[in-house]
Amino acid sequence: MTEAEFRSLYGQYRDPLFRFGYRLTGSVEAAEDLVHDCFVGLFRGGFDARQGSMKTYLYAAMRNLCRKHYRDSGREDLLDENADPPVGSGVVDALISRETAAAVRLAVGALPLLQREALVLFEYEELTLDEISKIVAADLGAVKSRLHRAREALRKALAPLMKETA
Amino acid sequence: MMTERDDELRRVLRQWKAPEPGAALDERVLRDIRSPRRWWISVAAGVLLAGVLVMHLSQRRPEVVKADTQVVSVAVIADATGFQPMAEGKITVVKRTQ
Repeated sequence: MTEAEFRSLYGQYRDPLFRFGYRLTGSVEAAEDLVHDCFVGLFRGGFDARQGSMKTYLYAAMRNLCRKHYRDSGREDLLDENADPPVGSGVVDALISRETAAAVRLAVGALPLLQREALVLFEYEELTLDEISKIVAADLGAVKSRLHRAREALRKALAPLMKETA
Repeated sequence: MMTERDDELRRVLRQWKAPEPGAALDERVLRDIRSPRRWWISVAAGVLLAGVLVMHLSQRRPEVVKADTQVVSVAVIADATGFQPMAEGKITVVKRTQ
């Protein structure tokens, strides 16, 4: 891969991958580190077209780096798909103070990682279910289930906001 | 199971905007892809370590194992009274049987 090719890909995918990393980790610094590692890895390791499209490849690489980030920081509990998302007091406080963005951030951040990544990729990055399925290496049924559970949890957590805006 | 768009939920979710990455990220990424691959550093370190190890082993002298020693004094007393050399001697070695 030439530097010109790399720059083109970097310009195209830097922001989406950063947003994805940020919404998974909740940290600008962590997201920047992960985007850095993702692109440097791409440049040094190259891309094999048999791995699918560049888009799904980069999202999958970013996802794996996020999971490693959680493991390294000793937060494997968030990798558990069946963990119940706690509606923390922070969400309630944010709702009370009408800080909608903060409430959404906390509610999404409280989701188990597998549900969160499905939700972020579908609702924020507007990827198709098929693309998400390839990125997270799970069948379509599992992705639909995770998305369904994430939405249910968020409807519950953000119910006061939903009623307000309806 | 709903997987189609949920506009009401999506509208609320979109209230949470992601920030922009810092400009330092671009500099860091471009700097690191331009830097030469550092594989030779690990190779050189390995060679250096092996050299040090070989030198260390070659300079090591085998330890002299000191056996427990006891000083034994042996006194040989010979009585040569009446000894006369043989006129024509012939030495015969006889193996002593147990």
